[in-house]
Amino acid sequence: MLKKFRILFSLIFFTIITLSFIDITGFFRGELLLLTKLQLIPALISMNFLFIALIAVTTLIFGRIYCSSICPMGILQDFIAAVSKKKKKNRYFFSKQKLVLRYVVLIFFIIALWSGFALIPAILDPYSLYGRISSNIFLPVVRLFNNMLAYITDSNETYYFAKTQVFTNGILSLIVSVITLGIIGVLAWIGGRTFCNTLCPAGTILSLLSTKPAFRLSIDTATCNSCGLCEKNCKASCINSKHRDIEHDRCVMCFNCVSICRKQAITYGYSPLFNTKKENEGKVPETETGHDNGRRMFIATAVASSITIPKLLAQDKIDRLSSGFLGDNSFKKRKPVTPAGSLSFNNFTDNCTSCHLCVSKCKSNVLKPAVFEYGLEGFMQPTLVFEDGFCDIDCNTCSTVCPNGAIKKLDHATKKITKIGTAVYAEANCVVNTDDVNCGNCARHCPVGAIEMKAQSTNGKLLPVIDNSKCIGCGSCEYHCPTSVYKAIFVSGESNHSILL
Amino acid sequence: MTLKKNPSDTLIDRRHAIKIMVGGMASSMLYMSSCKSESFSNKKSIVNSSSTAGQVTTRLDYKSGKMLPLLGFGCMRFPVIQRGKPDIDEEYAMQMIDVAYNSGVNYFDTAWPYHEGLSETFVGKALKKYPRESYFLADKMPTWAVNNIEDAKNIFSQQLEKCQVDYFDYYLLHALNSQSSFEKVYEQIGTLEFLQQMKKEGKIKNLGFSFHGSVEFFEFLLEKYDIWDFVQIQLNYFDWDDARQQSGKLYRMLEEKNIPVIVMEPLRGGMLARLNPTTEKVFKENDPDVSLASWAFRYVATFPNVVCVLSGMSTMEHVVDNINTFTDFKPLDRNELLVVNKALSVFKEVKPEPCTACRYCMPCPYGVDIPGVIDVYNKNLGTFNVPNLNSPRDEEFKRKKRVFLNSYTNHIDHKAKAHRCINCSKCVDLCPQDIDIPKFMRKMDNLVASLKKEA
Repeated sequence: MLKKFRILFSLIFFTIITLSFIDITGFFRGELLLLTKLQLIPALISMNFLFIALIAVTTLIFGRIYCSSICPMGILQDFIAAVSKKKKKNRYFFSKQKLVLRYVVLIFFIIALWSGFALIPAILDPYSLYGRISSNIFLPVVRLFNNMLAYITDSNETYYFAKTQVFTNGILSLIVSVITLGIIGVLAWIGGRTFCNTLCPAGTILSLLSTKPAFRLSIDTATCNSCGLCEKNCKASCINSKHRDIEHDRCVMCFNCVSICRKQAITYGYSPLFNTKKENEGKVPETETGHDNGRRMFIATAVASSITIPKLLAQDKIDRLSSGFLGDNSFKKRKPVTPAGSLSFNNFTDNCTSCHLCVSKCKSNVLKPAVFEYGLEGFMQPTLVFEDGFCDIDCNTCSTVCPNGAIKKLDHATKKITKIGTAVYAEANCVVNTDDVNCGNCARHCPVGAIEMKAQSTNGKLLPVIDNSKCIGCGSCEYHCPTSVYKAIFVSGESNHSILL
Repeated sequence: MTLKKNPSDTLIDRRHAIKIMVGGMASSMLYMSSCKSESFSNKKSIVNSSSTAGQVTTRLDYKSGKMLPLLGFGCMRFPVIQRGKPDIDEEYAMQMIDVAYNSGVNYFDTAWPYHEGLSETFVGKALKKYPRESYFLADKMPTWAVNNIEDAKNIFSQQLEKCQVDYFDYYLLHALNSQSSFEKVYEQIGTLEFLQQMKKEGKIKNLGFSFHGSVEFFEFLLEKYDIWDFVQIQLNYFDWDDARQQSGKLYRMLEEKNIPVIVMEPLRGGMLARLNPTTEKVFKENDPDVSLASWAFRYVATFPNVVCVLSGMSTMEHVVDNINTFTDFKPLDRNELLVVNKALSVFKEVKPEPCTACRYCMPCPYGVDIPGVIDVYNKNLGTFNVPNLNSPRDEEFKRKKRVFLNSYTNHIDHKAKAHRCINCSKCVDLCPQDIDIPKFMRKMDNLVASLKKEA
């Protein structure tokens, strides 16, 4: 019964969170995205005390319900584990708590978070991991399906669907997400919730709160016959059936043990906090067990590779970018542009854990995961790339969805006057000079009228002049600039966003 | 140092690959659905028995003394492998040519720029299996590409080589549209003299020109020279009285001079085969069974001085339908002419851009798919799906907006849309229909931008 409830709630929450990422109709916005904010790490980063308290109190009372039903990464692992269980039943076994590993990872996580090195939180935060998998793998599948429907409605000329680009996030982000899914998938296939009880910082924090939750599982030592069925079905590997003992801090409240126990010896209910005497009755004392070195190696390799592989690939892209010089390359020296609402470069890069929710929601396809624009620590954090679009002056979607507070909410009026960057003109690249033609496409498409064609070129044609006091850095000029390799007009990011009056 | 690729190129390649994958799936779906479509299955029997089916009606070219088929095969619009690209789907096109040839359609009209140069080569390959004297081949001197007499000589000898022939039955000065460029290329450079020399040598049997200019210039050409064996003009019921084309005037002048007329653009780039629902109704009320294209063809072939009507056929359905129209050809009678006039007045109310998709403007140096964008606009105009920004924002407006924006998004690559037009105006002089392309692109861009803003 408890298990069924757990599955039901998990499915509902998982569906809502996944839809938040893969919905292409624009239906999921505002309050419907609340579940993405109810995630522990984003709530901690955005200092959303209400949600932190909610999660903490729930955990203190009921145990790690969060891990079983709210965390999408946890539920995804349960899906994989459910499939693996079909192949081989009773596949799990008790393993000793890897406390050192957990605390070391947590300490690293906290230091990184505190010092603003956001790559580590981005790699470890389960919500962000899941977000990137949804945004980079699931969303393209949905778009592919949408495009097939578009072909059908095109052929009968009803045009119900508009075709979209399928992969907008770039190949690196896709590779990283596939690798993440691969590693987590293998871990979940073999050991259930291994990730949650070793690397996951949210898991470790909640473990600290759930050493003795008020409501918890207990084994009735009188009826238990130590058959070990519960241990073999515990995804968290936290039941030691020989000792008739449950390590509550690792229990993720899946209730599999409750439903599988033939003797109904495992029950979930209120237990007083300090009755250790009674609880320890009937328990067999612990004996030292050997360390699981193989598994540890595997995890270490996995973490190491998930950091280095993208770095190597990114280096390749940088190399290609730096060769092939054509014309004025000041474009290369531009500063990355952070989305409106992020207040400043530092606020954004320190707080963003790259969940890619804003990337999924960006209608203009202008927010894309960065490669090295922010440096190594900002790998995969979204930045504005004006290749497939430009930032719509009337759109404030990204600022309304960010669960981390890396992008603070802006109303439409403020968004229109928030300066996120400055247009820079590189005259040597301009087609007016190189092709000897009239152009003015940048000025024609500037939504704030910051560009005027009034400077004289040597060939008697007009060149753009940028009024920096009007430019908000939306990138419309860069997107519409017809130059191919190095743009003649481009946006350089502002370190501190300002409001134009 | 070799230039490495822009990194974004590789990303696009991947996107492209996906697009092709999706495209492949979808086109196979489309292919299946088209196989089922009625128009094809009804006429399938004719395709199979084409060699024994009726032959198209012929008319005497009284200058050369030859019998020309009333339907000629235009080689500018062959089926292509990929939309927007010039590469010809050769296997399919070959089948179309064979079916046409076997029904007596043995006049083939190609030119230097068609399919970006691939048309001549393909026509040469396709006709090689037939005896040279059993078909008529027309080719043209690309006026705009001649800067000196060597250019002209080179182009002409290359054309013979590409078409794998020793002579052209019909040879035209291509797309004459201004007196100044005519005087420069044909008189000062001496290209006309060279072509007359070729005629003497037997490499050209009949010399003429194709025309896209003003009535005054046309008059000049007919008055100054009496060397024209034929003239090719744009003629169709849309342009007969059209203020810009004045096809009717040109035709009358040729009739007076006793010069046979070969007709191009009888459907105005397919426009008259599609029309719009209200106009279609006018025709269907009169005869529900025949195609809209057949009306347009019969209209031009009704003029007695027309010896051949060219049709740039792109599918086997076009070929079969046209052969049907021209087998035992019947001119339009008085009542039918009234129907055409009525339909025309209904059609002209929507004011489409007069693009024939000749692609002379392409490739646009800044990547705009000019004929594609105009086509999306015209089609939506024809089905009354171009939203009027002044109309109330009701359900009907929303539907129009959806159809208009989505058809634009789905048919035109985002890097080939109207907003990419920088107003360089290089296309303006190239357009034989005198469309102010940059102005149109501006209009389209603004309309799309304001519609998107309302979302």
